[in-house]
Amino acid sequence: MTSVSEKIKQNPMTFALWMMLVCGCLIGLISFGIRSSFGLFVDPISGKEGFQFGRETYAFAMAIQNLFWGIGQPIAGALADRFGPWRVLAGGGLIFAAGLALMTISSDPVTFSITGGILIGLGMSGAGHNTVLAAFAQLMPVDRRPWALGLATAMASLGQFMVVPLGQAFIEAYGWGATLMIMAFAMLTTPALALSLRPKGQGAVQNANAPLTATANSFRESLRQAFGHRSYWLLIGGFFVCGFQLAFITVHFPPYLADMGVSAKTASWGLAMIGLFNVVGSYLSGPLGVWLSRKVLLSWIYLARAAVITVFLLVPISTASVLIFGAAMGFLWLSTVPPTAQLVGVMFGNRYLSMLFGFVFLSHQIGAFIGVWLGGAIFASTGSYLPIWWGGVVLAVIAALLHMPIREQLWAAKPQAA
Amino acid sequence: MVRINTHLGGALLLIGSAVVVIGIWIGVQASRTDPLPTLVWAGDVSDAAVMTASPLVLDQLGNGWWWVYAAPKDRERLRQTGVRIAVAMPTPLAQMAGCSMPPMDYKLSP
Repeated sequence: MTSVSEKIKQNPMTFALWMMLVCGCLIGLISFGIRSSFGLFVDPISGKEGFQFGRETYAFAMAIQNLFWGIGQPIAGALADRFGPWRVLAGGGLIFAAGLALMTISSDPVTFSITGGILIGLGMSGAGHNTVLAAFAQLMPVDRRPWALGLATAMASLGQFMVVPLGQAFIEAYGWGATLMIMAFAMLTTPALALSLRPKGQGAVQNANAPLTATANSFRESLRQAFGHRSYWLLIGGFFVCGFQLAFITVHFPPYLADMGVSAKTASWGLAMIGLFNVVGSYLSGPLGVWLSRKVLLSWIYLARAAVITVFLLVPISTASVLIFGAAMGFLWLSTVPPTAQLVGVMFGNRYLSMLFGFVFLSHQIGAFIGVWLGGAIFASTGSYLPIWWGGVVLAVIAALLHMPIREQLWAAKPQAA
Repeated sequence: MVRINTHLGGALLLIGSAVVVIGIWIGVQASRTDPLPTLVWAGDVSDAAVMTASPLVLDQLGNGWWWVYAAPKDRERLRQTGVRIAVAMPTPLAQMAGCSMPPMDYKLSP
């Protein structure tokens, strides 16, 4: 049996592969960072300094944005599988940039929903880090993929962690309109960066022993295989829970802490710990997928989330408990992404991976929508976040159990019962 | 050909990107003329001199460390009094570090 280190020796990272990796990671950092910054614009755009249409209109546009991001992901994936991820990244970057620039003149609710909602949601589908992951899964050598997927997710996490305060500095220094235009120009670098992800004409990629593999001969057949395969449905169910938990914690964690008497400063540190440890966890989960079975890794991640939330709810709340919870949840935050993407590739090959992972991501976004909405609805009716926290624990255990029967092997015409 | 260890390369990419973002942030802050929370170390300067040179003292941390609310011209004046460090910080980071904020209606004199 060939060890991992021996495989790495067989496929050295060439300059072209490094370029591809760096450019793809930068696209993920920029797009995910900008996407994470929209919370900063709520008051400047909807308030007196902006268009004065109120927070509700802004929130509605953001809800549309998330919806179109989720719906657009399988479509962008299908386009990436058909025309190549680099073209979709370039096109998505242009749409994203157009959305950002046009937001500055969208003074009424309808046009704002179109520019800040639909255009940016579709742009994220094309130029988001999911497309980068799909590109790496198709273009990187087989033995480098887990590491590359982990690094790309870590870079996106870094963007989430570092671009938000940078966005705040830009808004304070130059105003929200100029900041959106600066972000639009940053997104315009995407087409240039995407050029290095072209599969043709790159000797490094040809030497990389990274052929396209597929269990199906067409889009339709791959969809039929995937949606007829129990393991794919189990993966979709697990990723739904991931979206549910992350979105609930992102939106409702600060008000929960405020209700518990925790200072805004400690809450900020808790969120910062999530961001920081997310980078570490995302990076490590890629290589861990080499040494561990992906489904076992995912089961452990969800079980660990359940344990972390349970301990956090049971121990008396304090600065230490908030910081430790932030670090532990951050470590487990996006660490589900690389092994989930890898599992799709293991089951169906990488030829239609963009589209098939896009559908898995759609379930993540539906989970995110329900997590945010249900958190608010339950708090409104009961005056407490505890039911939804405990619901998250139960869902995490269910997700861990869902991954166990997944068949971690290439789809076969007559798969045995899982 | 120089071969870079993959994990070392990955770490360099992450750290390098973080350094670039921080560099852009410092550049943006340097271009601002309005006051920001400023971390000051004035180990060799008397408390009275720091308080005189600062438009608004937010916190005295001890061992020569202060939080003051200062614009670029104020930071320059602080440095001229012998202050070693006078670095503007983003407001959220300063708050996370325990810095008190000025009153909402506070206005610096021109």
